Amino acid sequence: MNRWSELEKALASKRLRLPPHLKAGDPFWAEFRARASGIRQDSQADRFSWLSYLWPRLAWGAVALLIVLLIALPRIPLRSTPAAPATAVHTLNIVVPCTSAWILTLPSDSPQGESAIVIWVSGLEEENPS
Amino acid sequence: MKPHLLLKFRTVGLLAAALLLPPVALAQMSPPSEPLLRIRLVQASPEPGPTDPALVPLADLLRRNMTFRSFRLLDVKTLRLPAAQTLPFPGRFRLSLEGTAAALTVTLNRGSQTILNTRTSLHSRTPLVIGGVPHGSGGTLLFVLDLPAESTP
Repeated sequence: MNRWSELEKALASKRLRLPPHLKAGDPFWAEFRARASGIRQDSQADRFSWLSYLWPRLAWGAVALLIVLLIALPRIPLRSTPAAPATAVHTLNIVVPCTSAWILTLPSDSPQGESAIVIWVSGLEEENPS
Repeated sequence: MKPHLLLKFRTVGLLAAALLLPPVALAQMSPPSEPLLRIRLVQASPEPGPTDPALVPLADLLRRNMTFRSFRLLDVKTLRLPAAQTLPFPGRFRLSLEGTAAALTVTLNRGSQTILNTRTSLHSRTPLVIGGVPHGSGGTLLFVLDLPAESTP
């Protein structure tokens, strides 16, 4: 079987991948190209692979999804991050005898300044050494 | 460089970005960790005198609203919230703390005697001051509870 019959057989069976020994500079190959114009030469790099097809697309999709998430997430009010409560005294129980007790709010002198909540117990006796 | 090598480098770069970006995104999404609670025992006095530099912002606030002029830091303790423990302080004081910053139960004891207990919520920019306990060597004791930044325990 000569090379032409080999090629014709390959064309008839629609098996278009060419043998690797056919090179561009080969006159036989040049003639084949002239005869069978429009038939694309398959190379190792041209073989279809699902892996090489999907990898770049999946990676681009993941990057695009992450960009969307990074932009959108800060704008979504999440239930898991409630606003921090202000300092407050909810209940107060003075156990020892005293003359008076206050809960005071000391305001800051500027919006950025520090304020304070004060529980002040007045008239406590010093500890009895006994 | 051959085109298929460039394609491989690009694909590897994209995959690396896809693997590295999720932790960054998750770090932005995750809620902040529970804060550090700082308790300072301060001796406040109406007599003029030096004030500890660490107490300056609070001392200024107290001077504007109360009769104290000098403030001395006697002790500092920190713990991670949520808490469920009792901290000893000089003068036989004990401060029992239980709960989170949003719902913190505080009990102040002197020896075996309970002085007060209170349920509070704390915000980082507003300390809670428990005061009025007379100090043996003069002045008044203040327990200052706040949520400092992590870098300044």
